[in-house]
Amino acid sequence: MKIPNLLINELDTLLIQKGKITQTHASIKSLLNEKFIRLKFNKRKTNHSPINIIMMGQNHDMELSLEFAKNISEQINFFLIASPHMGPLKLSFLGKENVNVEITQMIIGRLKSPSHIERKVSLAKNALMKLTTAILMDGMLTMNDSAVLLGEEANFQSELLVIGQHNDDISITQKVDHKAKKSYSTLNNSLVANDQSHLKFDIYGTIDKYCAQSQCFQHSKGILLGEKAWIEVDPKLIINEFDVEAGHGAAVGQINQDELYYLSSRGLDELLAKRLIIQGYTDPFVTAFPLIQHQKYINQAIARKMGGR
Amino acid sequence: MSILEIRDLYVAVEDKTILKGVNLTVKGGETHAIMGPNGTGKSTLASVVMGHPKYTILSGSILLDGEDITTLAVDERSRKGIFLAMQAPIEVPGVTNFDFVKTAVQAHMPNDKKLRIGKFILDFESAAQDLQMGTGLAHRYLNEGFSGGEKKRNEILQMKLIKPAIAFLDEIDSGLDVDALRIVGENVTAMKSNDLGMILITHYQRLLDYIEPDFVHIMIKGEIVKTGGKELITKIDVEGYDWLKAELGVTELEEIRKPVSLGTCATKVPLK
Repeated sequence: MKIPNLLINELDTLLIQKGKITQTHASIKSLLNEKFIRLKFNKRKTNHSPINIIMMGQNHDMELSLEFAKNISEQINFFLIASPHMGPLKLSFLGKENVNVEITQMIIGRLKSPSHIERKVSLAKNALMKLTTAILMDGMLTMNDSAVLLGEEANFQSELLVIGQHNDDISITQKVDHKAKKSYSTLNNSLVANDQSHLKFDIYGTIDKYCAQSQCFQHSKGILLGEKAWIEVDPKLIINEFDVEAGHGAAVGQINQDELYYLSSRGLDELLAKRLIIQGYTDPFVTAFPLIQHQKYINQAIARKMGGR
Repeated sequence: MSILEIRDLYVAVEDKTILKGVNLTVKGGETHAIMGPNGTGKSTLASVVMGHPKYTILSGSILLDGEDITTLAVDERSRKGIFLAMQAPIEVPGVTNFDFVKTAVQAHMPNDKKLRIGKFILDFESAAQDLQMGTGLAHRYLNEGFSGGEKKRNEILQMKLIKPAIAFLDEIDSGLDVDALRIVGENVTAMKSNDLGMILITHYQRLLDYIEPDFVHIMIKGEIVKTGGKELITKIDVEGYDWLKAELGVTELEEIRKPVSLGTCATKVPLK
């Protein structure tokens, strides 16, 4: 898959392909070898526009680490374009004290053989990370997401959209580990399964002993649009401390008939009404990407995954 | 000017017949009020005309400008000009009010015509201002987090922009405080024209103080049992429905309740 022009024409774009950084950004320090790339984000004196990263998947295993220095605020738009036979990929997002980072990540491309992605988040004291992810690739993927909250007031907020189509088989394990008191996490998953696609989620939230006043929430909602589509969500909380707030919820089903009736009563035919309801699922992910051209690109990818529905 | 004719309509939900021979004709320019005790089928009538799939029409017909619409889907009825301001509007998370109303207005336009977005934005803002719905309405998710009054006003906002030919307003006054009731009343009254026939379903005179009806119907046990003018509203407000029950010889308005066995619980059997 080629890099879409909509993405490559952007300024402030860091391009990673064939294990090399072929275009870079002034504020980022990079260290790399054939299988490992380390990007260090330091405080910028001027120009606070978002940084775009485009990464092409490789046929061998790869590791990419994004490290955010103390006290910085950063927005990263990260496009991962999977190659047909992509090797295992490990992504690390490391936030030091007082960082405020928003990462929007889109995973696209067509996998011809099963692939695996591992994402690790580590947050220090007072670090805030918002990770918004749209998984819109085709094929079979397993993904392990883990977040470790190491410092007091560390806050991890994840929003994940997955759209399955045809025979897509996507299995995701999410783990959040609270290792400091007053640490906060929220995982929200929005899942849409078309055709015969399978989406499976195992979600773990762990609050260790002595991590009082922490908050850990998981919420998943899924829409089944194909007769043979399948969504499984298994949320779990492992709490070893009394003074915490935690909760999990999952709702999977077909489109709400009351919502359909209401929209139809205003003249929207079934197809249009369903499209609008699904758009309600996907729009928050699209608008999380601040640039209009990125939004346009994501909308195109969503429309393709929905088979024009 | 459109005409809605409901002829000898019998409707059931599951095995229970709710409407038992309703006859009603509403012409453009007319405002009808339907009143009656709880559970007599007023809201069912509105939902059946809108085409809610829960109800089964046993016999009778619903004609809009002479065309039987009973076989049409909900969206087709809407596009023909039927509108129902619902008693309990549904929340649709993720869908913004603006996107929804824009799509609805576009759906009511002929296929070869496109919505002029600039004009629509002005119309939307003007309608929101008329209904005193505050700023930010366009970007709020459809009815999500709206107060009861906001939901009802949002129904009227949709009605103003969709411009239906026949509109049912099902208990649009419930959940409204005095000021909101006045605002809704004034907006609905301002919509009165020969192009709109309205059916107000209500329990109280207070709505009809703001929206003056031409005809008042009283519905009891699935039938319209009396039709009159505004004088009926005052009579009901003062005397309730007892005089009418006596006049019609209706003694039992409540559903006859049959005892149902819930099975037996495990009981502790004393040892012998």
